[in-house]
Amino acid sequence: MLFSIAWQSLLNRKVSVALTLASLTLSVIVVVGVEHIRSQARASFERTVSGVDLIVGARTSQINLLLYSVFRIGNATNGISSESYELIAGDPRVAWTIPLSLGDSHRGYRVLGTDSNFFEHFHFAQQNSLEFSQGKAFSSAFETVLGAEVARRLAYQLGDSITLSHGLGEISFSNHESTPFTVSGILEPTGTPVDRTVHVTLAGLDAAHGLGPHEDTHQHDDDSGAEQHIDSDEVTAFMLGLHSRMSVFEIQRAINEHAGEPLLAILPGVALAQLWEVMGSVESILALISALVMLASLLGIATMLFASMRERQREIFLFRSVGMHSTSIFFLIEIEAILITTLGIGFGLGVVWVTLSAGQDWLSQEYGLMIDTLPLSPSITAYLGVILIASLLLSLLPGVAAYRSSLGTKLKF
Amino acid sequence: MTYAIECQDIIFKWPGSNSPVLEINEFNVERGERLFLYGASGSGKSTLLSLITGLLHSREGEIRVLDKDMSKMGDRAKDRFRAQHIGFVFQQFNLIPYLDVESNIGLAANLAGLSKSETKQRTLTLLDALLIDPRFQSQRADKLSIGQQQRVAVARALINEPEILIADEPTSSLDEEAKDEFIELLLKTQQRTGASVIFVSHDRSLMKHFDRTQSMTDINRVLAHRGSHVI
Ligand SMILES: Nc1ncnc2c1ncn2[C@@H]1O[C@H](COP(=O)(O)OP(=O)(O)OP(=O)(O)O)[C@@H](O)[C@H]1O
Ligand SMILES: [Mg+2]
Repeated sequence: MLFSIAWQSLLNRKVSVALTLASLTLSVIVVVGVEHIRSQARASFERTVSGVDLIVGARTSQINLLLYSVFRIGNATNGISSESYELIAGDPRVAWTIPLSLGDSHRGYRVLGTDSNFFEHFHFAQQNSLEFSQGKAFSSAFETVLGAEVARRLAYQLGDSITLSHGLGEISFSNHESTPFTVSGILEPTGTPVDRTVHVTLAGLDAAHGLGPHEDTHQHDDDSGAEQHIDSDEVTAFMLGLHSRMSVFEIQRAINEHAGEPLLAILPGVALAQLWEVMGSVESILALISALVMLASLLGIATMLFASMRERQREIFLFRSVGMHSTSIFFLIEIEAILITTLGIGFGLGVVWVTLSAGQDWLSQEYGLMIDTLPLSPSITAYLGVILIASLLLSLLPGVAAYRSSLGTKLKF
Repeated sequence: MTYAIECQDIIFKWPGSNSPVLEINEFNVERGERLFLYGASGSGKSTLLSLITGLLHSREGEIRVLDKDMSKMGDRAKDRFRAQHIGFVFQQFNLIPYLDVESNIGLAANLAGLSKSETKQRTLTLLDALLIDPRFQSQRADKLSIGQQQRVAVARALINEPEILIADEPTSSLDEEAKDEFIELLLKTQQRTGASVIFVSHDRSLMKHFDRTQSMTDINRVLAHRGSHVI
């Protein structure tokens, strides 16, 4: 009965309730949206690479090396000479290596020159290996394996022929048109940058650059990209796996102190954590802002209820005269607060859900974020619980005011 | 004769005030009696009614309602008692404006523990007796005319068939002809259950409808001390 009275009472104050509700809904959107995107981004982020013990590149910052080798963001300033690469790859403690040669693109997607070790040893998420949805790994120099998104967006199928562009722009000055690659395989979606990568053989890449087995008159336009072009006797970076993880620090140190050229070896997990920390301060500022926005809305609810007390003196007196207890009057106000808060949470979640459902494709295409559209992780559920409790606590103010004015000596006849 | 209401040696002060507003040696209302209570504004009529109905509590004296000592009842018991045994009609704004007629009456019935089906039936009978079209049941209370609201208030006051009906200036918002008509309807409806009525007004032209007339100045000794002068 109290619920129905509270509900009617709210309906009776449509405008002020609607405004309060709108403010709360917006706050819920901010809180839930920020938290959801954050946790999803983090999960998506952490699954980008696993099972790789070290990533090695020319000396630069940890984060830069991680960004270009794993996220295909930014550029390497230098490559690694094949002598150094072979020396490290030949170390008896090293089980396997995956060479990475970057710098070209295909219609806006980055091209990765590598070898078949990539499909065998690269893992993501919880030690998931790469799977082919169609076809298989390349078996000759002029074959290519496409990430799931590349194939889907550009509508490529097995057997299609593609050409690479030098540099990274969507429209490039120089196309390696004389050396087309045939699609030999398409990978399953992974939710990692692999989906947005065109994988080719190192030999094929060299040929496209006019350095390999094919004679090529094509001239490189060195102004087309700021990045230094990687020569055939170089790789941009490589990943390696060890027979025993015990030796990882030893090898890392050896590589970092390598006499031939300045190199950097990073542990992917450590570098990922460091990169995430860079974003950490942004994260906590966002969390603080959303908490304040929420507090403002909850105060709005309390204010709205408090302001209504003046016009409700008569109502309270009538409730009491027909035998309603003072504590029921208190609960009536609290129920109104719960109703508004629950509605605000419901609307907010709804809006976030609809928006994420609509924006899901865009997020995965633009940012490679694979997100859950239902924003109900344990942390969000906990936040919503806190919001409800905070709303109840703040509404103690108007609730107690209502209680007090329902006592005999405060009743107005 | 048994009494519906017995008041003995009441002295009531509002909190924060030194001088009492009520000092009553004895004030009784018989069962089934219709009492007309009048007195100047501020003479303590509403205060007395609040004491009798347990909305206010007097430290001194004894108030027995239907043979129950009000001062011995707990807060919840008093609220329950009021819901079941006492009906109210006030001057105006008797109804919760945003609830419909049915819910306004239903609320009082619910607080007294009346079953849903019984409530429905009694509501129809009462509305009929009070000349209110049953279609008004789903109408919001504040959409009714003042006269209609007052009659719905009577229906609400009587839904639990209370032994006591308190009417605190229920006619002062009505015009002259409507006043007598309203009182006649009220008393006719009350007759079916034989509830005691305390009808408060300063309009003495209405006293012809009642069994007995009581002036506040005769029972409230505070007024005698002060003489006739009331602030
Ligand atoms: N809630 C309150 N707190 C303090 N004093 C009050 C309160 N209500 C009434 N009084 C005082 O108690 C006295 C009696 O008031 P009461 O309302 O009982 O008079 P009344 O006879 O019903 O008057 P009226 O005919 O105007 O309704 C008045 O002096 C009034 O100022
Ligand atoms: Mg009065």
